[in-house]
Amino acid sequence: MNHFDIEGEDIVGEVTRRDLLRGAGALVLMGGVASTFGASPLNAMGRSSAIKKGGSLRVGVVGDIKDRLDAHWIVSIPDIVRLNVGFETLMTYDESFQPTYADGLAEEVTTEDAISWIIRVKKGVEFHDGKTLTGDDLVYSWQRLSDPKAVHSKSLRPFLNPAGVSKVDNRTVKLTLLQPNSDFRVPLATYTSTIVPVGYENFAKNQTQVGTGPYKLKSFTPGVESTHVRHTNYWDEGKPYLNEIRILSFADTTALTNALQGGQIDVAINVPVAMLPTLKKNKKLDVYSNSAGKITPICLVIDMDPFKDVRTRQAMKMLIDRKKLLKQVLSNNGRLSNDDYSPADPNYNANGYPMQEQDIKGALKLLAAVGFSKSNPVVFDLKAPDDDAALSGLAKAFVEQVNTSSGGVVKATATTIAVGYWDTTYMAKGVNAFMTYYNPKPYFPQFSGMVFSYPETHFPEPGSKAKDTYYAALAEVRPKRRAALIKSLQKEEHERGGYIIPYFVNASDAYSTKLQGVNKRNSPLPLDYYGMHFKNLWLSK
Amino acid sequence: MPILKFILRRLGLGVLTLFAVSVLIFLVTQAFPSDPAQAILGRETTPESLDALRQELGLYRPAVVQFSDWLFGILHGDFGKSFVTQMQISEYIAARVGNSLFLMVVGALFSIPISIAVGAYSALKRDKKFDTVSSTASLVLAAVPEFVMGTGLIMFLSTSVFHLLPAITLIDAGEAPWADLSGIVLPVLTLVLAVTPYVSRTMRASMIEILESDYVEMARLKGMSERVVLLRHGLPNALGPVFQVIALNLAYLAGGTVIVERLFNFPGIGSALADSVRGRDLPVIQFLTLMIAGVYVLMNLLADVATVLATPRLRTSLK
Repeated sequence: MNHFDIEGEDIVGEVTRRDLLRGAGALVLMGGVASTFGASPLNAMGRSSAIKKGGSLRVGVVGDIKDRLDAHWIVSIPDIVRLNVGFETLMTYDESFQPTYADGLAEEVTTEDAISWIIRVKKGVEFHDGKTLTGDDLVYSWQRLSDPKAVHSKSLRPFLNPAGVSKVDNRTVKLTLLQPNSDFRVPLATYTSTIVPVGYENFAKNQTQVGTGPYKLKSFTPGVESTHVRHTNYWDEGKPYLNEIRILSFADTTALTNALQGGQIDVAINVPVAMLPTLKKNKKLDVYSNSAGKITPICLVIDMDPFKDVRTRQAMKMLIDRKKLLKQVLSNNGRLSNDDYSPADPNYNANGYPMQEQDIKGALKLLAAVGFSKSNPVVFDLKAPDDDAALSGLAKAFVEQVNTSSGGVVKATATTIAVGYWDTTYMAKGVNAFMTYYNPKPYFPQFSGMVFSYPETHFPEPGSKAKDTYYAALAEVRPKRRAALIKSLQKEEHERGGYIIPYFVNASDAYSTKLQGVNKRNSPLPLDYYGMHFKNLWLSK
Repeated sequence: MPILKFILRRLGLGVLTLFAVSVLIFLVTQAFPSDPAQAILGRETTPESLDALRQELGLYRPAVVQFSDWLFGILHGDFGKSFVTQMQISEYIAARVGNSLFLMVVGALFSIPISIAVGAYSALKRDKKFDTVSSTASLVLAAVPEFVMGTGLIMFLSTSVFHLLPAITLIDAGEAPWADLSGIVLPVLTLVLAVTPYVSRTMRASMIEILESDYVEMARLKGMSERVVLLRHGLPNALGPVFQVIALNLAYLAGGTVIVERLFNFPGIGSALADSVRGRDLPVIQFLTLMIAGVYVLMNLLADVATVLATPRLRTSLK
């Protein structure tokens, strides 16, 4: 019987044994994670409610006319949501940022030398147009992903080019890397590494967007909304539950949260911290704060004055009171960081550094040793975008703290840029201090992002072997040796780096209590990959 | 006909004004601190991709060539293509223009009669209770920013106190602006409350002046009823200056309501202009600014013609 013929009917009796086992397994897994993140395993699975098929989910997200639809390239948050609705990757991450086959298209991924990777996909996966996923589609997808001329291939270019992608059989592809990378399952799980059919082009060139995801595109108007309808031959049996997903772009977070409170949308992605108290009081809404490790670093460029001397950079890290910054900027919607990142990664803080407490005396001693004083202060202007309160707020609070705690030895200012920050100021020549942000990532992609893709602080210093150590760690398959290399990398970052990361930011989403199936675990994307491509979600009424 | 000559002369001046606006806007967009290609591709891009997009968008052409090509297109009905969406601007903007026009018409249908009635009656009952209350209310409304007013209405009527109306407007792509009538109520109410104080206060002041004039006094001395004095002699002459204010407010309703549009997520040309500035979508910025300037020119022309037609001494002076 085709369950999708019956609209809105409870199917408690038809929750499969597989679903139960998966749920039980997830509970066991989350038991281990729960103590780390302070979440109850029972809460992690959301409310208990009979699965109800049918209905239309309205998802609100802040966007504008730059909204685009491309399976491999995203620029804004609505792009991420739309990508996740219709496209899938070979693997996914669990909450420790470990690649897993669950919810991915791959059946098996193997390597013997960290250079040749054999990937076999699951049987019976169909695209939205009814075509079965084959090896040719895998080849096309990975050649597109690794195209050196494409904007989206930056992070892959050191490892893969289109010539390294070859078909083995109708379900298997071989990726031959340019250098060893024992962590190559990570790019397979990155949400932009999706599988597309042969000949795929983005929406601007082809409005028929075909993927394997649980919902297929029905219509899209940039800056307004997109509608996605259920993929009836979706490979994950019994799913998805909803008939339709509508993603509505809002110009403003105020309009977004008003629409949620007014019942005109069911989900609001990335609600501002200031609205959380109001939303939490609303009994018709649920709020989930995800502390997977989003960061808003202060970037001090290490080869520019006044930050050339490592002691100056270290002093800046010692002058601040991180708890106070977390309270002042985020109202404690986050947790402390030690200028490091990827807290969910098993490699996090491999050296076990204790949390840096404010140490004004120590900082002033270092600054004096460099030659700074009240008559010869550390002067810099920290730039931030005007339209991002998390960044501009931290910039202003940081500057205020270093000025006050140094007693005038530091004379910093914070300048917010009203228009075009990311085009004109971010990483611009001559700018020695500026703000940036990163969504949660595992350790290696984050390091790669900060050093190769966006070398914001110009780390590492000349003569450093950090880049070689990074490649060596990626290629290393012996766990002990690998751990030693990672420790060495993190030591250099901790002692000589230019990033100041006082805390991890909680990303918060709010949704109607009608929405069920939300897996409240820490995840790089809201609502745990938007309810894993929206397939795990249903509406209770 | 003298009135026709007047209109043609004003139209000619209007065209010159629009040309000056188009040059000014083009110069301003050229002075933007960033590059449309960079804005479109975002921070994750390569120099090669930037270069390719700049070539595609024609950004390497000299400024004079870019301007003249654009102006030539406008004059021939080709408004160009959006840099960001790659859609024809006419197609991209059409729905938004319709939405804003609808908002303007509905807003005007309520605000103008209410303003005129309140202003005229206040003048008639000068210094009495109605006048005091309405003058104070219009001062308060004029002082409150639209954003605050709109937020207050949302909290009161939609999200916090009562749950009578939707908090935002939801008009799907391709739908008529009246598809979500309940969603239009709050934006219209916000705009009516924003615009009415100015028109009513101008109406009141103008009416007071007229009611104190010699010919009105003469009409009263001749024994005409107060109703006749007001409707035949007072109101038509008082409306002259008010038309100017009405025209400015109508033009504002058409293109200047970006804050209200963003608050209610209303897909109008105000928010389209704001989006295009953020996205450095130069052709859309230029087109929308020119269009809004055109609306101001047209509204002012209509106001001037209405003033002349309503004021006999002005009609005489044209001859």
